[in-house]
Amino acid sequence: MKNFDKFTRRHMVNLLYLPALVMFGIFVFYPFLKGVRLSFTDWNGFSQNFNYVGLRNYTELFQDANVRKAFLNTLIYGFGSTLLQQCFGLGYAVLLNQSFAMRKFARTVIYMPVMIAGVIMGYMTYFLLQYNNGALNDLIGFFGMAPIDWLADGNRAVLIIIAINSLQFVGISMVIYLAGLQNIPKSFYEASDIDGAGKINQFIHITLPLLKPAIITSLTINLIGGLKLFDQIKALTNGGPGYESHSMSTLIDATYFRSQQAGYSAAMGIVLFLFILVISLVMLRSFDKRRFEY
Amino acid sequence: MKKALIVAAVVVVVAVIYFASSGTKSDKTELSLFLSMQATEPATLTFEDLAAEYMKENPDVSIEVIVGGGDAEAMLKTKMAANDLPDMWTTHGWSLMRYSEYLEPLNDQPWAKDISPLIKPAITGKDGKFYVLPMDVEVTGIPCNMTVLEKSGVDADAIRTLDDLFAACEKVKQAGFTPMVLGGKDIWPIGQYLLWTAFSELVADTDNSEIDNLTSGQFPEEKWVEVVGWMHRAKELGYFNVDVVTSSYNDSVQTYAQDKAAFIVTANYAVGEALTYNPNGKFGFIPIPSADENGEVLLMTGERAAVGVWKDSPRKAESLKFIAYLAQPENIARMATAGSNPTGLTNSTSDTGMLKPFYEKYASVTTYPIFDRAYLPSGMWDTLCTTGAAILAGSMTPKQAAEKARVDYDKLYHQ
Repeated sequence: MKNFDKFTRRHMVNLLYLPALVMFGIFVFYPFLKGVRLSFTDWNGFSQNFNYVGLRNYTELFQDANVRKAFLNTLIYGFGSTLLQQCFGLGYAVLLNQSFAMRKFARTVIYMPVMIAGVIMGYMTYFLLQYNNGALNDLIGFFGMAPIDWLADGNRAVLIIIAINSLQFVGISMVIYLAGLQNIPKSFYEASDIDGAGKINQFIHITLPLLKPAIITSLTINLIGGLKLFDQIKALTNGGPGYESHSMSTLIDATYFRSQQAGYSAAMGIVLFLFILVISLVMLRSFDKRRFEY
Repeated sequence: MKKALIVAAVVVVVAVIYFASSGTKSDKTELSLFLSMQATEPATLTFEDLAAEYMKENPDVSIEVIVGGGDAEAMLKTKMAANDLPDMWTTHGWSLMRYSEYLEPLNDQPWAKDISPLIKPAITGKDGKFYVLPMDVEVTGIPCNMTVLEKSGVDADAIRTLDDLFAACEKVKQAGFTPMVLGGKDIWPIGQYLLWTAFSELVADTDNSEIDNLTSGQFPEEKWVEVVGWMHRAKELGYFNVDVVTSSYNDSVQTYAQDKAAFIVTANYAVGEALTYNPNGKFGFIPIPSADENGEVLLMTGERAAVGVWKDSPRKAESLKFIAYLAQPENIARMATAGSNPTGLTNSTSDTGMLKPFYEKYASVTTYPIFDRAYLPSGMWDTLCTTGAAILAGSMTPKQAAEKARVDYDKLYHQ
C-alpha cells in the first residue's frame, strides 16, 4: 500500500497528462508522420496504390508560380492581419481600460466576432460585397455611384480578406492587451505623474515596455492564425479570381481534393509547417529574451 | 483518499467506454446511400422519396441517405483512401475512371439489357463491364433563354460554329442583355465553358479529332491555346457578366431565370432550377457549336443519377436489391422526370417538360461523353477550372494556361 502511494505521488502528474499525450500522438503526430511520407509520393488522394517519387514534389514546389503566389499571400495575410490586429487591439484595450458607461458592452461587441465561425464571417462579407444585390453596392448606388465588383481584383480581394480577418480576431488582441494593462501597477503611473510625465510619455515609457509579454503573446497567436488563414478565403473568394487570393492553406486543400495531387499537396503542407515552426521559434526565443519583471 | 480517487476515475472511464460502445442495437439491415448532389436538387428529393417508400415496403431495411453537397467528391475520396465506403453512392460521371476499382460490376443484373444507348458508351469500360444503374442520362448542350434571344433578334437554330455563337453574343450585348452568364466564384462553371470549347476545337471536326492523342498521353498544347483562347476572347469582348469571377452559380441561375442573360454556362439541368425562380420563363438549349465550318454540332452525354454498389460492402446483397427496386420502370421514369432528363433505361420514358421539343429537334445530333471524363486523366477538371479562372482574372494568358494544362496532364496521366 505504501509503495502504491509512493508510486501515485511520483507518477500522478505523468498519468494525468498521458491521455492528452496519447490524443496528440494519434491525431497530430501520427498524421504528421504520414504526411511526411506522402510528400515523397505521387498519391492521388484516394487510390490504394502510389509510387515514391523522391524529392520531385519539393523541387516542383519551388518552381510553381501558383505556390509562390500563395506563399506571398500567406505572408501578407499573416503579417498584415497581425499588424492591424495589434494596432487596433492595443487601441481598443487602452480605450476600454478607462472607466466609462457601457464599457463592458463595448468590450463584448468587439469580442463578439471571435465567436463566429470564420466561414460564416466570410459568407456574411460576401453578401455585403457581391456585385448584384450586395449591400455595399446598394449603398454607393444610393449616392449615384456605379456598382463595383469588389472582389474581382486580386490585390483588393487580398486586402479585403486581411481586413475581415482582422475585424474578426481583433477581440483576441484586445483581451490580451487588457489583461496586460490591468497587470501594470498603478504606482508606476503615479510616480511618473509626480515626475511630470505626460500621457504620451507614460504610454511610450511605461505602458509599452511593460506590455511586451502581452505583445509577444498576441503577435504569436495572431501571426500563426494569419499564416493558417483558410475559412474566410474559402467563403469569400475561394482562392480566386484565378489563384490570386489563395493562401498556402487553401491551395493545399485545392491541390489535394480538386487536383488530386495529394503527394504534392502534402509537400506544400510540410513546407508550410516548417515555415510556421521557424516563425514560432523565433517569436518564442524573442519572448524568452525579453522577459520582464516588475 | 488518493486511492479512492484513482478507483473512482477508473470506474468512470470504464463506464464511459461501456456506455459509449453499447447503443440500442437495431434488428434492421442498415444501408447507406451517398448522393454526390446538392440538397435542394429535384433528383436528391426523389432519391429520398424512393428510399422512404422502399423502407415502407421492407420494414427490415433502413436506408440512410447522405447528401454530399458541394464537398461530395472530397468526402468520397477520403472514404476511398480509408477503403471505408458507403454501401451505395452516385458516381457523378466517374463510375469508370475513378470508382470502378471500388464498385461491383452490374452486368448480370436483369435490367442490364435495357440500358439506353445514349449512356451505355459513357459507362462501359474497355472490358465491357459497367458499374452503375443509370437512372437518367444527362444530355446537354448550351442552355439558352429563348425570351432574351427573341428580343435580341437571334435565331438559335442558325448557330453552328463558335463564330456564330459570338455573333449572337454581340447581338445580345447590343440589345442590352448579358450574352453569357457564368458564376465563376464556384469555379466549376468555368470548367464547363472550356468543355464546350474543347469539344468545338478538338472533337467537332472528326477528320482532325484529337481524341486518340488525348487518350494515348499526347496533350495537344498548341490547340489548347485555341480552346482557352475562346474564353479570353469572350472576356475581352464583354460577353460575360461583369461579376464573372466573383458571382456564384446560384447568382448566375437567377440572372438567367430573370430574362437578363441569353446563355448560362452550365448544363441543361439549369433549366429546371431557373423554372423555380421564374415559372413563366422560356428556356431551351442549343447543341455545342464546332470551331469552324468543317465540324459538326454535338451534344454531351454523361451520368447524372447513376448509382453503384461498393464491391466490399458487407451488405452487398441487400444493396443490390435496392438497386433492383430503383431500376423498376416507374422509378426510373420518376427520377428522369425530376431532372428533366431522358431515362437511362429504355423500358421507361420520362417527361422532359419544357426541353422536350429540343430533345426531339436534336435527336439526330451526335452525342459524345462529357469531355474531361472521357478524354482527360482524372484530376484535370480542376486544371480546366483554375486556368480558366486565371484567364478571366487576367493573371494568365491562353499560352500560359495551355502550358499549365500540359504540365498537369503529363503529371496526372502518368499518376
